Amino acid sequence: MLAEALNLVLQPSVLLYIVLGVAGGMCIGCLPGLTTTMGVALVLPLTFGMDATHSILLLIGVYVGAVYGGSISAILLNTPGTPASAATALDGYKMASRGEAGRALGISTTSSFLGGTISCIFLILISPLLAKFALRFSAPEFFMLAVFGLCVISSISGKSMLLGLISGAFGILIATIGIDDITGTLRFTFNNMNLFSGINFIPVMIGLFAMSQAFVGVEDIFKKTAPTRKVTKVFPERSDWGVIIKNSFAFGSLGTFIGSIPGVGADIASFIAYGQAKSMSKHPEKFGTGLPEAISAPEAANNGVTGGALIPMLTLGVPGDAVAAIMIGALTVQGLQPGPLLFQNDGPIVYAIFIGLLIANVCMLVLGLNSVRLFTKVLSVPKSILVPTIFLLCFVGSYALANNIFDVIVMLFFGILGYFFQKIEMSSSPIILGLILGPMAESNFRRALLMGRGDYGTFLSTGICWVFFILIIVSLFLPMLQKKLLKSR
Amino acid sequence: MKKSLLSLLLLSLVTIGASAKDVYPDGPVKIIVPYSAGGGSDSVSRALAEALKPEFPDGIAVENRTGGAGSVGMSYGMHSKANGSIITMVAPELVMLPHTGNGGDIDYKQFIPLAIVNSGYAAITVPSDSPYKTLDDLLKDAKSNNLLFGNSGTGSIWHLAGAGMEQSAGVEFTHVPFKGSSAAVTSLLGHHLDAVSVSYAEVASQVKAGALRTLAVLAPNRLADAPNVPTATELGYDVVIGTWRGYAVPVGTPTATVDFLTKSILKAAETDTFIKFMKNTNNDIEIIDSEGFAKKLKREDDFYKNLISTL
Amino acid sequence: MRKGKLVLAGVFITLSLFIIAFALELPASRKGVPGPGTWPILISLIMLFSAITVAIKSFNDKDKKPLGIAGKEQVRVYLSMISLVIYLIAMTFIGFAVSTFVMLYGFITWFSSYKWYFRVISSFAITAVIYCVFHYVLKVPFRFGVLF
Repeated sequence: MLAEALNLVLQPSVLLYIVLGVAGGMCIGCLPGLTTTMGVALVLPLTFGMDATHSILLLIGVYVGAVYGGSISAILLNTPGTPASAATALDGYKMASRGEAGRALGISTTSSFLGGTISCIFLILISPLLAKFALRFSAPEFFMLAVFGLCVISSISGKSMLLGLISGAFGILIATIGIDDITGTLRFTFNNMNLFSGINFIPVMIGLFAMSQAFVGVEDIFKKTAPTRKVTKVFPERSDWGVIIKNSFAFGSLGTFIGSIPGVGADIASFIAYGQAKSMSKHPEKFGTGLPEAISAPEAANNGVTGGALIPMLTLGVPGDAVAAIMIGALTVQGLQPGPLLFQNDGPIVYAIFIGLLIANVCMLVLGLNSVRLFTKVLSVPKSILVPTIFLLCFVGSYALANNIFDVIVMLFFGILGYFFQKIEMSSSPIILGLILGPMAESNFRRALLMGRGDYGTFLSTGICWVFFILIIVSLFLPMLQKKLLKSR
Repeated sequence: MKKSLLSLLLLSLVTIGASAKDVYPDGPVKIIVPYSAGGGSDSVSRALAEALKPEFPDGIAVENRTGGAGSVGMSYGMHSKANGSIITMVAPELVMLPHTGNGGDIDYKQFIPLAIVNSGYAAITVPSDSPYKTLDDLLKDAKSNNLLFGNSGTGSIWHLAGAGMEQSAGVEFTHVPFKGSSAAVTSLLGHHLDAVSVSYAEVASQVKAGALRTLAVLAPNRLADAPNVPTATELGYDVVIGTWRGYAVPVGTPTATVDFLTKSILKAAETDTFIKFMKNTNNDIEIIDSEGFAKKLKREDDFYKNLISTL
Repeated sequence: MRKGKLVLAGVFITLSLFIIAFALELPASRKGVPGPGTWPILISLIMLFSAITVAIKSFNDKDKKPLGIAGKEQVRVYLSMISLVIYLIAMTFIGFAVSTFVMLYGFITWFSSYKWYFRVISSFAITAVIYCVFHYVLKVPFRFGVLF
């Protein structure tokens, strides 16, 4: 079986496709507005003419590349290319603006690689086990998971917890616009058809991060900035390796686990990883100033999701996230049926996917480290040209999402709003978190009560619920306890 | 002299107009798909566009305009120029959404239907270790117990399928909406639901793998893929609900263009590559021509109006 | 800073009250399952209480740090915001490529002191690259306006 699979993968053309996929994915990922899902969907029609191995491994290459690529623009320009790297921007950009762009990119690249590789190993060894566990998630568990995720707001609020709470609530409320998932009623749409399916959170993110950052750039456009230190070393220094390895193992596994739960993706994983890294840290107060572990944790987690998301797809035939849903489409076009029968009927292709995923991660590492110098060149482009180009990319990126001018209006609105938020030192990240997790929390809250016939006991009816309940309590009160302890000392 | 000049001018205008009609397609053509790239509607439309290519020398391509359960894209296509340069993919949502108040301004009467190429019918599906062996088992139990019925979203076609089953059997289910069919199927696999009422194509792989069991399909005839599964009508419940994918152009499109498009689509749907693609992706080809499509729209509009008003 | 925080609190207090008023008109709960209005009201209440706390705190705050939204640098930001709104409108009426070129040329002229031909070439090059990549490779349709 393994030999057959190796035969399938180790053809020059297949390897070339993986390399092309990863490179293309990196480009798509680092452009704001072009999400991972969109990148994979764009490549899908090209695969119709290929055989199964070429097709699925090209898509996997794009997937791995795009999830990693988002962090490049997040670190260099404070402009997360995909929602999954919004958490990386928090500390990555701070480190880069200290002149250590090369170090930040090196940490994110190696952590992404290690996280991706670990998830791949989990995928190979214990995917049936994880899949069975993931199936136990129902509405109450999803609700508790969403609430646990929302607790991360306390970690990403920046200077003021209260302002963070307001911005988180604001994000959740924006997400309630549109057709209500449970009853189908229209909420806050004011009869505007563009609002029926809600406000897409990608334009909001582009506005809050990229656009408002460009406005800040306009503010000091005539100021001479300190030249970025020349990137001498792209491979992380020895002092960073301890952090990278520790975080990659912990949060790569966390990412795999989160990815294996159907419907929960890389964006949620990276925020949860950031929050956990902060609450586990010995110096949580330094988060947000450009710490290596704050870059490593979300990056390991979001690439950890890549392998995790394939688990329910390969073992159960249900998509782990939107990207996996497209891959299922790609496999069925080839006449393969993902699911329990795939292992029995088409074993070699399953192993080919495993090997291909490993190779894609190696590709990402090599391409990533080699192009760090190239990417940091962006920082030497004069601001007078860079800022207008970012304006343009924000416009085009938000339009490209659904070919809808309305999304551009949304982006511009949140760009202006985000500029004022920066002025008042209100963190924008909780808005993104609220937008991502708000709908998950609400619909599962109501779905759980619908399935539990109105009994609130349903939220603590299973072991998984209790675990999340304890985690929520711990993550809310641990920081307070730590503060007290520090003070009394 | 003046008169003859004027008539000459008029004549030339008419001939230009006529020749413009004659040479359709005179430029690139777009198929607007109101659902996202990578989904079922998108891939079927892309496969059809591929099969249509020989007839369209300037190219024919798919463009996704998503939002509002399809209403955004359908509205865009409805308001586009009536010259055949934009074809819109339409689905039952065209005649469902207006009755739930979530359709914006879409109206099936503003479209000229060309052809339907594909359809899929609802299937009542339970886990394979469920005590319900037949549809009657399930419905008998539903009389005393409130069963959890998963669907792909409130007001979606598969919710209406569950509601239609409920009505014709005179029982009451608890409808649990999910975001999309696959989330409902996943929940059923985890034994959190009693049954789902999504399309057979979406459960087929699980049924073949022995994880799920389909009790009945809400189709007019037994499905080619599942000849052993009875239809609800056979079992005495008069309910037929399914989705379809059709193509339409805005009202006002020249008749010659409409005829050309209908003919090309019907021809493309019979090419080998398209048939193979549809077979691989578990999509059933069901071809309905322009006339039948128009009748179907009218019939389903009335049907959904009644069904939705009783919810 | 103090004034800014008070304004911010005011805006969010108004927003939350507005949402609560709207949400109260949505259908009520059914069979113990919260209706579509419950969640927005709950979240609005959290926002309302946080905003009120911010207001009270900054009312007593002697923070004299300037907010920095009225300087010369900021006026430049507001002008760029207005230009971008005009660009958006122009794009839908005139066309993507033409208005993008004008937008880029305008901003680069404003922000730099390059020679005119360098500005023309760089604006043209950026427009061309973005147009080609998005239109031909990524198949994004830029079909609006009367011109190109």
